[in-house]
Amino acid sequence: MKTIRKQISGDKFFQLMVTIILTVFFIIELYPMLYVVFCSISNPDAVASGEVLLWPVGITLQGYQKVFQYRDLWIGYGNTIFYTLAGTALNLAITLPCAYAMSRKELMGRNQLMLFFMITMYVSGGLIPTYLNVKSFGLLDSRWCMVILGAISVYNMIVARTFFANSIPDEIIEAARIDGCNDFRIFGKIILPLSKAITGVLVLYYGTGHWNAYFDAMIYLDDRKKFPLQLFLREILIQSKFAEEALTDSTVSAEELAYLAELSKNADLMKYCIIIVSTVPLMFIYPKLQKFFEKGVMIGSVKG
Amino acid sequence: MKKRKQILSVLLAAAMVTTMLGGCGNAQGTSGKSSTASSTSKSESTQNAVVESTVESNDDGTEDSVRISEETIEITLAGPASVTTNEWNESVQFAEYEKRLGIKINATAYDSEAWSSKLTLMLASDELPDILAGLTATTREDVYKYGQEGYLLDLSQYLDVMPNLTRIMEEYPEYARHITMENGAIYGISPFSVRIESWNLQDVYMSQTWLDNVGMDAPETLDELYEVLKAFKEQDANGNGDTDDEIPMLYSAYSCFPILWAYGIYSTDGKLHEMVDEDGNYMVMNVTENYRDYLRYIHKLYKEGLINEDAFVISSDEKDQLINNGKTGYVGNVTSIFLGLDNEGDYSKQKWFAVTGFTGTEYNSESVVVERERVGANFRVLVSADTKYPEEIAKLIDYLFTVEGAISASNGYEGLTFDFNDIEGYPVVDHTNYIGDYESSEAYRTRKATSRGAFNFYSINEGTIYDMLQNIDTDKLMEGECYKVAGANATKQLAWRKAVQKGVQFKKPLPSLSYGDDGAERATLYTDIVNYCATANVQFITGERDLDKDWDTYLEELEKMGLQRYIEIQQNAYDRLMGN
Amino acid sequence: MKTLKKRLVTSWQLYVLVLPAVIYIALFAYKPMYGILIAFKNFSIRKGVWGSAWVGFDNFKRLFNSYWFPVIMKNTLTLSALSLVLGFPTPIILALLLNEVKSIKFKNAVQTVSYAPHFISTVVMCGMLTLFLSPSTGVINKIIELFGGEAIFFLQEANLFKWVYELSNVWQGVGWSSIIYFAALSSVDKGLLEAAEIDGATRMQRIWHINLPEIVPTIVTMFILKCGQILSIGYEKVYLLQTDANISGSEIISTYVYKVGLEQADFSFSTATGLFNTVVNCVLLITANQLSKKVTDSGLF
Repeated sequence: MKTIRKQISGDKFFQLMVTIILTVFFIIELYPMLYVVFCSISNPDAVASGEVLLWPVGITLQGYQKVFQYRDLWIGYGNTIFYTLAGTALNLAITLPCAYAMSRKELMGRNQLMLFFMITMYVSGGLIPTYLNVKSFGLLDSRWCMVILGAISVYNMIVARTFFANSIPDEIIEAARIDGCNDFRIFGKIILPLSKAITGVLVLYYGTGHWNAYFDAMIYLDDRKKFPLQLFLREILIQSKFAEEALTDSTVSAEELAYLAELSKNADLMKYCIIIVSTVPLMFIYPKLQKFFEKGVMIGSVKG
Repeated sequence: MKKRKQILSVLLAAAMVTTMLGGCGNAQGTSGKSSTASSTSKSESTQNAVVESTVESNDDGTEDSVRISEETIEITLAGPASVTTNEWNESVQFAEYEKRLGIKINATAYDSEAWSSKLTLMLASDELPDILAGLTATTREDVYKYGQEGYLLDLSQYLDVMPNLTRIMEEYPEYARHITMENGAIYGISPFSVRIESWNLQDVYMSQTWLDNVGMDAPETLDELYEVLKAFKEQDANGNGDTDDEIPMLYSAYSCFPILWAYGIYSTDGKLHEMVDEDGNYMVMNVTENYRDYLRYIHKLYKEGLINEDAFVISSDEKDQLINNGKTGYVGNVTSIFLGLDNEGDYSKQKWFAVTGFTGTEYNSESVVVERERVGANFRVLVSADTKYPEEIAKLIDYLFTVEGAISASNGYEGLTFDFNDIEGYPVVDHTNYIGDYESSEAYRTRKATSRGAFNFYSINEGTIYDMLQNIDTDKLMEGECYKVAGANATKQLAWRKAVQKGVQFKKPLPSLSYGDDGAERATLYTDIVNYCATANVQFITGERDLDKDWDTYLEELEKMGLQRYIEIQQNAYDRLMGN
Repeated sequence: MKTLKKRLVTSWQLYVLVLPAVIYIALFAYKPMYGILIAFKNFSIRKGVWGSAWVGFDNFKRLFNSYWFPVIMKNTLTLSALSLVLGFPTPIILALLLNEVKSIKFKNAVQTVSYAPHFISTVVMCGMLTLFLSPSTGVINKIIELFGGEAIFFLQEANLFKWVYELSNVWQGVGWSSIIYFAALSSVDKGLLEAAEIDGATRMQRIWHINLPEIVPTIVTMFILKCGQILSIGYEKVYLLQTDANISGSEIISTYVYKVGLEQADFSFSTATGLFNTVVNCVLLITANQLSKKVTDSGLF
């Protein structure tokens, strides 16, 4: 009796410590985003001189106004949503089956296959051969290029494989096999429903990757109607560099420099707004994905 | 058709002669003494207009440019976007080219950060557009390489249809040297400025208000500079009642130049101080006693708090803030000075004036100024070797070297995008009547009137404040309309006139070089050496390394890095360039 | 032999599941891989990869012969090692701690907020750091001065660079990196935990004996993968935080290659450096994998 009470008070102490640590952590982690929000509605001069710290200074919504005035923004949003949805769907369709099969000991030569995959994590052909390759498939300046490129990330596949290998008991598969299930059925009917947590992780990894991607679009797309959001946002940000570049440019007049400096000041303000504008949609989706992590309970019940 | 072409070429030849004459007039204006002021630009620009109207004149009396192609041809153009992103094709400038010159330009602008990759990929897949233009950041070295590999058109074959370019090359050998490669070919066009001399002054400024507040004259020697900075520090130089918030000198590569020059180091780089002496010997000054003494001086300023303590970690935003808030009295090359143009209060409050080289060392008895390059290092226009219209494009490029062409690229066309506005008796381009919905005249000019960045590589005085600055009386320079519109440039003109009076020596910076087969080796050597010099510079100034004790190790380390080999490569490249 | 054939036949469906991935990798990763030859050539765009002249190991020699090579190797390894020591365990600790929280709301709030900094772009993050660390106006130095200390020039001291870099990395990335551990923890058998509680195991004991073993395979996988990235630190953040004063502590392989590339676009040099990184990374990866096989009896291959 005494030990149990001791244990409970010990647990309470433990709980308290966890809460304190995580609350402090919460504040530390909240601060950068909060700071970005403050900066996005503050006078850029106040930001530059370090006055903005715990609250916005010289409140202005000009940054958001300018960002939303940017007419291409909505085209970008539309494209990004398409690329993210289609791209992530393709990613899952390729990664999950592959990772599952790679986790099975019955797969002969899986170490060799692993090597085949892993080499590509470290060795790549470089910009020019990769570009010529994409061109040879006729994918240049095509929306499908944005969906197909990066169809599988070997890194994510390995992460998923680890999950399958360790979280799904062999007994379940054995039992299913005895019941006459083939591998397709086992994967579709038994494994997938048990893999909500890893699917959630993959959606998060791949989805965010697509959402934030700009390099492929920058290299392979010419038609502005197909540009993703991030590419347009970068165009706004680049304006902050023109003034600095122009300082050493012989063809730039003083008036133009003043104008470029003005643009650069605006871009300084907008760079914070841009983070908010492009991140807010993701912030709404996370809590929904987090629920998948709780669903793991099912495995326990199956095991039992 | 053929006959019309013949007639056209006769007309072109006529135009060539007359523009050449006009060109000589311009050149005299720019290179001559400002006091002569033989002809105002007003008469010059009308002269030019007359020249063109003799070529072709419409019934309604408007003047037309020389048509380059009878039937409208379409050429493709690609380049990195600047300010505007997708608006190149919508500019008045390009629309007028189609109408006046018979050249329709179909432009694609790319993200300026993606441009170098894009260019590489265009080359690799052999799909160059007719023209590569804009702030392409293509170095002389790259251009030479691409040219030799057969990607680029050699414009030197078309010099006979490029009279204006030919004239400029004859007049300014440094420009001819720069764009003519070592094999005699011209693979592209670099920016070039024929603006007034004062434009060439580096942007280093001191506040007259601060000097007045501490009751001192503008310093000329290093000792005087030290005394002035000390006074800035100790007294309430900015007059806000606080004697402790002044930063006498805001450290930057530029604010150090006038001090550097005083030690006989004629460089305009913040890290590696390269120069060529009278005999054509290339030198790296970072290993000389001159530089060591220079560092002693700067170290003294730093130690005594006359330079901002955070000199080596401060961000450019923070610098701008310090200047805008009147916290510093001596600065170099910062955008906020120009911001002051809009913000009359701050700008005129500080009364910035341009600073030229100091004197008072054993290395240098005279004041020296190392000028800004008239020749832009990077190339702005490259033509594909596969283009169907080499001659037409050559003519288009030449057109951009006429007054009308240059103004069309910087401001558009009179009556369509601007009027000439009279300031103190000088015609200055004014867009006010045309800006429509654009938020400012500059926004209109860069987004609608012209395809900014694409073709504005030739900078002239006509139609700009520089014409006025060149000719206006000295006592009018710093007041009234002139000062209001010219701001920092007016102070530079004043400084330049004073410098000429004093007999200041003007020197040229090291021209840009190309290295051929040594390029790869040089790139790593340069990176190694600059990295080391940059760190050592900071360490000697802050006192982390001692100028007496650690100097020899510093020299030894530089030798180990292959400094001698680097100097050899640079010397060879320089000799090749001058041997042209 | 027969069993082998039989096994192949019975598991043909598994091969079908792998096939799409294999095809993609073959077409989009292996097909252009010939580009790696650039490392051994004096690459000319006109001549292409196959047509350019062979130069053997010249491009590698330029890297190894550089005065800065020992410095950039040391700095790269230091940053990586610090990231293994600091950046690797923190997400695991975070996941284990969060798993102990009873209130779902608090848990979700902490999770969501901890992902957020991941989305702050590197440029903005470095801007923030420069502001916060400023000796005159920065908040961190104001706090130091409040406690009677003297302002520290964080970005001027070469030996402080690694801390600035890595601590801010942890700050920005710990939440995001812990996602995979949250997911792994979700498959812990709740029944087992309850049984342990009844048996009188303390919370620490339950974490140590039940939760931790559950995520060990994930930890091992992540560790091995991380070992394979030791030399591949991206240039952007380091480059943005670099000042003239801290170069000797902040120049790493990728920033060095970037700087050389600014002087001359040199595909051969950057490819050669990339290949050198690959070789070192692979050696480390294989070592880590063998080590893990010995210690935990599981590895990637």
